[in-house]
Amino acid sequence: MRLHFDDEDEDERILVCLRPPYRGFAVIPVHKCTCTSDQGYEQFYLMGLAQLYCKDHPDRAGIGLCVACGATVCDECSTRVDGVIHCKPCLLRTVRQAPASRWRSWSAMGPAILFVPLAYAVLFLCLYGLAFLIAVIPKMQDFVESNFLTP
Amino acid sequence: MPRGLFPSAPVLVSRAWWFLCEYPVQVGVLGLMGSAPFAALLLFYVREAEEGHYFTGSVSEAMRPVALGLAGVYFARFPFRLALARWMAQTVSGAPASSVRALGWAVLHLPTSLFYGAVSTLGWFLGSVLIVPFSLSIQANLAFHRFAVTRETAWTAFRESSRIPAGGVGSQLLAVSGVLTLCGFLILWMAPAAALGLAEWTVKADVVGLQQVFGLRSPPWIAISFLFPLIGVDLLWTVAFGLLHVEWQNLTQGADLLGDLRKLEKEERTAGGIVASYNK
Repeated sequence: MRLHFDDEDEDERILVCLRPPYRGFAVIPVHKCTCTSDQGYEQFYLMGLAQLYCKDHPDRAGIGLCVACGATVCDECSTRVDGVIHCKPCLLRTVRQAPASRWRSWSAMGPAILFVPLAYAVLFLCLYGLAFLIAVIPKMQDFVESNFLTP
Repeated sequence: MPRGLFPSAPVLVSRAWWFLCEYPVQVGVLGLMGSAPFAALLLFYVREAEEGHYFTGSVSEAMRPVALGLAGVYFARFPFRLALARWMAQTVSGAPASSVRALGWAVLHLPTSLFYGAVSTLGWFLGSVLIVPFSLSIQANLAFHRFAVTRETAWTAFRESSRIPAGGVGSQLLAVSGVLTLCGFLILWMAPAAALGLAEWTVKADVVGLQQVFGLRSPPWIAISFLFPLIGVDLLWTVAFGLLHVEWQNLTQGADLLGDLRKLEKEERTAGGIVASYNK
């Protein structure tokens, strides 16, 4: 899929620019994006947004989309972390829910207990079947040769 | 589905090849440490099965524990795969990367790698019958890289990997990998026999002994010819998925682009205030 510009109302178009300096879903008017000149047309993925308003302040124009929830946020409601826009609830949630890296795998324990034996069993059956096939094929060949191919 | 935003599967495979050429030691060691021991043991297993010639009574019982052990060895590859994903993520992002530290990190997250590996394996087996579960393998392969890059939990990384619109590219990768494996198999299987035949015909060389090992009807050589390309393509497949995930990250900076596009489409239908003019 290729997102493309709408030919009408060029100045009214708003881009979702994915490149620096507006990294991360910054909604900006076309003429304000400084990376058009060197990055070119392909760097933009136009959503054709006519106008967007802040999710919490319907009277204020949005300046960007939250990288986590995709909601439109105004200048006051947004926080940039490493150049990427976050809304406040998502930022708080990210900070609170960021698990200690050592224990991130605990959520895989349950599914692993379920899926690993299942995959193990399937794999064992396949390997055992392979051995069976390898052992049986020569025997079948002998049978066919002795019963059907010998005059 | 913004599949066109991603490079095509042949491009990804070619990039994976050049990535492998750029970092042959790290990618080769981490990639092959997982799959090569299993492949070597599988060859011994095939030889044992072939020498048995029949499959009754004691032979059947003798093969059972070997098959059980071999199935266990198969799972040892997944921590290495997670380590490779971690090492790739660090290398691509420009962070200082160490394959030993990546391996230590992967051992720490053993349940995750086993979970993803098991889902991937089930996806392969079920997909070979029903096609659809191949998507599970694609999702699990992406989850390795997502888990290695983000701070998400294992389950979240797996769930979120299904939202990456990589199903089309993954299916293409699957087809390309299949073709590559087949070509590799045919070349490796037939080339020695052809060379030996040519030597016998042109210089009257005595190649009877060699033909028993490298001939077209030699089961060990057939097994080797199949396993070697399979291991190589498996390695390229893993690296290609890593590069695909990097593409996705660069594109969205980790945001859910597809989710946002769908949301905008929905809002267009309901509110009429937003015009999403894409995919034409």
